[in-house]
Amino acid sequence: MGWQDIVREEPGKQVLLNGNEAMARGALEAGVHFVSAYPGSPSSEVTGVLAQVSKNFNFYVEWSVNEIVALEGAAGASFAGLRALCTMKADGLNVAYDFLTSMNLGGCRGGLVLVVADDPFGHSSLKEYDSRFLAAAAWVPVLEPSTVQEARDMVKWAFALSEQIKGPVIVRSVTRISHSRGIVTLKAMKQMAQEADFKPTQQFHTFARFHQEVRERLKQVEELFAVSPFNFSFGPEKADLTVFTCGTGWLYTKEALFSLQLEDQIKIVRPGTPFPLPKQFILGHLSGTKKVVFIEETRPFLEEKVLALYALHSENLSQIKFYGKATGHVAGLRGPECGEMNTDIVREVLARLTGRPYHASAAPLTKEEKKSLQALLPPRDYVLCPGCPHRASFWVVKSALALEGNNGMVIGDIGCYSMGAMETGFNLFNTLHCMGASAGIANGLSKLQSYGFKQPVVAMVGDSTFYHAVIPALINGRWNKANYLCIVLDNGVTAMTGHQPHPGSGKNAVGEEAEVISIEEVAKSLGFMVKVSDPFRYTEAIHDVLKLIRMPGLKILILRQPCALVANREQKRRKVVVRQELCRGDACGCMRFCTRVWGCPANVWDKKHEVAAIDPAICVGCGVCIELCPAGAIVWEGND
Amino acid sequence: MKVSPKGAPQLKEEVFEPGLCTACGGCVGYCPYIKAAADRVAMIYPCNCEEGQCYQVCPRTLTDLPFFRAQVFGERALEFNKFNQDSLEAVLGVCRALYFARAGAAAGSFQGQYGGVTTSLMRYVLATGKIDGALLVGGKPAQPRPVLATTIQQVEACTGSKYAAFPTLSMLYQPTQNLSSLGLVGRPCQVTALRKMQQVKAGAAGQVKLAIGLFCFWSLGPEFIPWLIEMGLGLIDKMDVTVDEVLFQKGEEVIRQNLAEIRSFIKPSCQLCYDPVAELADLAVGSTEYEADWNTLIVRSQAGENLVKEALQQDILEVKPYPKERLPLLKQAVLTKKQRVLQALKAEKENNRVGYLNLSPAEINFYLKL
Repeated sequence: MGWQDIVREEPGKQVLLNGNEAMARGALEAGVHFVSAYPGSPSSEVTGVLAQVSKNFNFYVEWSVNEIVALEGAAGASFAGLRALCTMKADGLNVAYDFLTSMNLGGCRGGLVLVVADDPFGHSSLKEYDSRFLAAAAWVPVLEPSTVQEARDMVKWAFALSEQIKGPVIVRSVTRISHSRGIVTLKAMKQMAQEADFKPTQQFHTFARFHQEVRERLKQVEELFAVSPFNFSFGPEKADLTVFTCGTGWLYTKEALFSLQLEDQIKIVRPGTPFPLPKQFILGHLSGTKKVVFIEETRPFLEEKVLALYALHSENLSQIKFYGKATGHVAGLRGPECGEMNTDIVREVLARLTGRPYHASAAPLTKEEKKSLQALLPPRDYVLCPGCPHRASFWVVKSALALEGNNGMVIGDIGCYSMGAMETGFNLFNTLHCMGASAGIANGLSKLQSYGFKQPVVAMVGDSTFYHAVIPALINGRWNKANYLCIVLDNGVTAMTGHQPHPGSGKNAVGEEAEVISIEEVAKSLGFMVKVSDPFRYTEAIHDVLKLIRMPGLKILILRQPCALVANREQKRRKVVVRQELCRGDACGCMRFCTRVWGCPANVWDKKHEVAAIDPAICVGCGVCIELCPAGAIVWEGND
Repeated sequence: MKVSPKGAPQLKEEVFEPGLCTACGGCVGYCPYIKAAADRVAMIYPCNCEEGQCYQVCPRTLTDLPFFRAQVFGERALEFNKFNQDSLEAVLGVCRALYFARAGAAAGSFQGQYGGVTTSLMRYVLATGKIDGALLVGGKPAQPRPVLATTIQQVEACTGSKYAAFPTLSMLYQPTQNLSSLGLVGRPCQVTALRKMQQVKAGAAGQVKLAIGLFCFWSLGPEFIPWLIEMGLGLIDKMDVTVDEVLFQKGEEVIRQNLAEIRSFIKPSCQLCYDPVAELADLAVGSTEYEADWNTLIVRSQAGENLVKEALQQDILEVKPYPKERLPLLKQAVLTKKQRVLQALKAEKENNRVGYLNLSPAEINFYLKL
């Protein structure tokens, strides 16, 4: 399992991989030369595992500073005739999109594959959306796997397809593919020629006149898709009711048909190549059916394409009634076109259409049922890790802005610290959008003084976000005389996506020593007033925030403490204990500050003695609660 | 004592939000929700306490003055409550004696404000073990910091008025506090807060055995120090305010500014302060606005009287009678302030807002008619 399995040289052997590992294996079987990515759930492990194994194969892997830089690098390799893979989460496609739409016009040479992982329901994303629409708008072909094995197969084939059509190809994954495990039958790994070769006469340009060429390219793709084994059907040859599905919908539908005992009555049509649509394949299956149900992840992409196709060919087809997300028939708890697909949604719509008796396992509960179930469940909200330096930083900024007293605004950004918009982050953020947005929004807000906006503005960005997208906004702010405090929360890694290194980490993707691009040096070189402070030193950090807020112009404060998970792994810090005789319990005016407001999971309540306690198993010894306990009851061990 | 069963939400609504916090520090440090940074005090998070000590100890929440007079002055307060129109006390508060005073020959040399009465007395009580720690404001006028002085040197390092309001009472909540009797030098609002704290047994307030209140017609808010620094006055050694001027002293050099320059920094809560001469203190000390080397000293409590007697015997203090011709001026200054505040509070009551003072209608009428 894991990276040992993805490098196994045993064609025919069955191994258990997750979708991301399978896609990495697909790239290895295709003989990939160049891999680049900015991490982002649920895509991160594709490049992560390839970085782990790259030395065994001698191909190049990098964590790039952001997605567009990653894709540009991969395109460079492709222009030189090499096979390149670039992975990203759906949000990353937006970042890379300007280059993707440009590069797609000029085309590429070596196989260039983008793995784009969507996150329906936003399990680990701020937004959910369907990257197939972006791919279609860019005129880039899309493959959409339904199983872990198929994820491997599609990535592998995508390289060949890309080389054949001389353009990039997108493999769309979703969380349930990337993070599910399935059996993969290994195939041989291809050894590709290693020679990079970019002839002086070769040109890859972006000009509007190439638009037509891309159209021709898509026609060629459609012909290839028409005969692709990734498009298939299942069940009876002729059926009144047909399910058109792609991606995860394939297994959900199979399961639903099995449990409703409808496998012999309903046909499943599974196009694995939703864009461009394999028209003849689809038309063939529309012919002779009366009802069509669409099951797909997030938005009605396949549905809209098929409906348009039906409209164009309706004179040759019998009347069909369509049921899908666009029609409102296929809907989960968040309604149609929103949220994540599951078997129950499929079962419910198919039972309704066939009259099969079915009681949804997620049927609405009565009030009493809900109550009794809730009593069994511990309340679970998003929470920062024990000893997370962000918690300390948030409390510092919360305190400082209260003390500053002018209703200061906090403009949030993307990372673990996005939880600054939640209870665990003391609901600190006034805004939260996308990578780098904080500094840009702060620029704008700070220029509204002539309109009467006088509140202090604080932008909070992570270290990885700083490199990714903040620097241009800071330059803009300095140039245009913006007036705010940019706080960089520097924990040394890209923590949220799995502790990938970034330009400040001193390591690269494959673990080699790398130049440290110091945040303070970058900021100083741009002429900013920069201060580095320790969020664990609460009082001093507040002082620094207040001091900088009051200074005119755009200032930068770096609040630096290593990610608690990393720090705890590297070095166990001092032990924190509660002197329970000093804790005032519920008589304290703090109303259980440590467990209720501060909310570090290591601060726990000793129910027996009705006083505070520390969970020694998870406390990382940051010691911040020592300073915050008003009774002085929390102390370093040895000081008790 | 009249108290309101209120808590942090009301403190926020009635005191912090209207800008009435005096930065006394009485609510800072008992809980994790009210914090101070330098001279700023703020509630940083709602604590959800329905009833809170923070509300009870605040000098700008319901303050039952007659009750506290009785607490601090015993029978003397009853006499005071008769409101004899001719008595000095009716305006200045309980007053066992009123002097011009200055540090005596045995007090040693230091650079105090005016006559150095406060410093010499604090040095003396610390040196003689009457207290073992003093809550003071140290540092230069532009870098004030709270000091819990336990040595004479530390007391001397705190000489001179700071004018920025500093929440020194927060030190009474320091959990490592290991001292048995304490002295406090504070603004009148801080003395009031101290009395309230003593009533609810807050922190180490009960250990404060000597409270020297400073005359204070206003103090300066948090914007003052940044302004000082901006004006290039960040390193001044001493500051003084006269009737129409502010004097900034740096070494031998004295920079004069019109008083109007700093008026905008006066804390809004000072406009509602009824007590410019620390009526609940053991001793109240201020300038004479007449003779620069002397202080005005009001002896209020029995403890204060005892200390002054002893200090005189030991030559720590030197006093002379308060000049008769100056008395009407002092009385008028205090009375004008009181009347202005009573009018303002009356207006607030008419607007259905609650004034913080609990005074009998007789007392209010008495002052307004004077």
